[in-house]
Amino acid sequence: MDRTYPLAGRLLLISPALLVLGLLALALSSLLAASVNVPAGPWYAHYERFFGQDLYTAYLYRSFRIAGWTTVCAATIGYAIAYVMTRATASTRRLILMILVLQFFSVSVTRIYSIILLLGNNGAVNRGLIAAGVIDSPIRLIYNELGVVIGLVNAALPFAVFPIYSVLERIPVSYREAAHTLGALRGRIFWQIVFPLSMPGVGASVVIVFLYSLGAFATPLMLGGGFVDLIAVFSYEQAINFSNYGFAAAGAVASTVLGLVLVYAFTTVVERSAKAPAQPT
Amino acid sequence: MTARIAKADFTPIPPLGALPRLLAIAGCALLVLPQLIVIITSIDPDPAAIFPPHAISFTWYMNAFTRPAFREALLMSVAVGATTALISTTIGTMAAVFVVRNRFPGRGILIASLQLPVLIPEVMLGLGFLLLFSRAQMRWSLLNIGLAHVVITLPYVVRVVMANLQTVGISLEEAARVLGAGPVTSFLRVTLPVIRSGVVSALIFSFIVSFDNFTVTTFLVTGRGTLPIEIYGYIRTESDPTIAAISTMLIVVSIIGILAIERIVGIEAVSRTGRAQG
Repeated sequence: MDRTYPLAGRLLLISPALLVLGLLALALSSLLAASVNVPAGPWYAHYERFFGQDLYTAYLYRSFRIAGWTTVCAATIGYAIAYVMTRATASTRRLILMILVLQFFSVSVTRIYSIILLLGNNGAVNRGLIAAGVIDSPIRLIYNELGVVIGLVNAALPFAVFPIYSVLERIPVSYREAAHTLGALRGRIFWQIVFPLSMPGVGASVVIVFLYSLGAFATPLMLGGGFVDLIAVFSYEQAINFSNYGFAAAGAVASTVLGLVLVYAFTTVVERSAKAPAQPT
Repeated sequence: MTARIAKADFTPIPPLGALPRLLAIAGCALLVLPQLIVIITSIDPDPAAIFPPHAISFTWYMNAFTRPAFREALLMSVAVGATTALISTTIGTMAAVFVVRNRFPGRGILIASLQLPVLIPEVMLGLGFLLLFSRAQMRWSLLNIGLAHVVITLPYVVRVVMANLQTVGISLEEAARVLGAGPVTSFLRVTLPVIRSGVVSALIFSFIVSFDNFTVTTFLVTGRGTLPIEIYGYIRTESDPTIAAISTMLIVVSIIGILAIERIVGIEAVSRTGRAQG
């Protein structure tokens, strides 16, 4: 225990933060209370309506499908970037780090706008392909599920990379050297030594990207063109456009709880497989 | 056998394969290309934003500067961001000092709770604050937005300052106390100076998180909005590249911010404080 400061002084240090956490607790309890506050009918009426109609469960399926695709793409590309970073020269590593950090520091709304400029019907990619004679009319790259996944991967890549990079960085190069000296080929060294050891990083990055894309709002709003409304857009529209606050809250709570359950199941499976003894080959 | 060992001496591990290289290049292109296109579009005088540009002009920059809506939104964003950063960094630094320098039951839970706001989807936070503030009859949207931003920026401050504190140790503060400095003096003249770099990067981080925030703010805004809100509104109604000019200016500011942080704490520190929005 720290004796440098008196108890009262120490409590003074933490109390403002506790007030902030109190504000958060009040906001979340307002949300929960609204979701079960039904003027006429049982407390679960909003949830019943949400899960009982295909119109609304479609938001749920779409959100989970897009979060799943985003996670697979971001984790795969993120792994490759992290892997290249551990093997690259110091200057290449610094360049990649700069690109990733610039992504952190960019304003999300303008970042999404720049994706529209790149991939829209009148965007650079379509114009380039038409000018090159590859296609006759623009192909639809955004304002569909593909566009939302591209936008989410763009947003999520930096935090897919960093957990994997920090684990890969700590795998001693001697492991690979030993395997190589003993005659293992590149693919076998990767899949039997490097990849299993990097699983904790992959698990962390999968969880972060999945939860992030499940709750994404600005990206589906701007790149979905109204066709790919995810659960966050549902909640926003119900609350702001229709003043159905309770129903909006129920949708947000239900999807978040389902997402957390899925993440919990995933981490349990990953941890169990990490603890299992290595398969002899 | 000897041949293999001799070869292994020259190339300790096999070179990088083509697949990881290609995937990494594709990933980096996905991050860089949109930014490049936005910069090129911003200097193209054609309002249809046709790529590649045929001339260079600063029409859209002029438009961005002369529109009062953007000026007011920028002012509001900077005011909210700066106030949020100051309050959040003060509160978060104090909390970080408390949890790093004390051992008590429930410490782990407290540390986890301080990270809670980043784990909760922003729509839940936005809707929750909207419901709370309307029930409490709080109608001043600037105050509401500021309070919500303090909540969402606090985890970043705590994480950055905690990481900084853990590296410096307590012996300097103890020495100050033994030499007769009071608790306030030793905090202000010893603790604070040694974690200065952490506090400065916490200020920059919380400013950026607040400045960038769209989702939570959009639930709380009434009337004029912050810059991201006004940018979104403009994109919805207009199609000229004024937003490209604004984006380019923001990219330049971001690069300056990154270089500043790199000089203060090193760029690797940023990667450990990752954030996600949008």
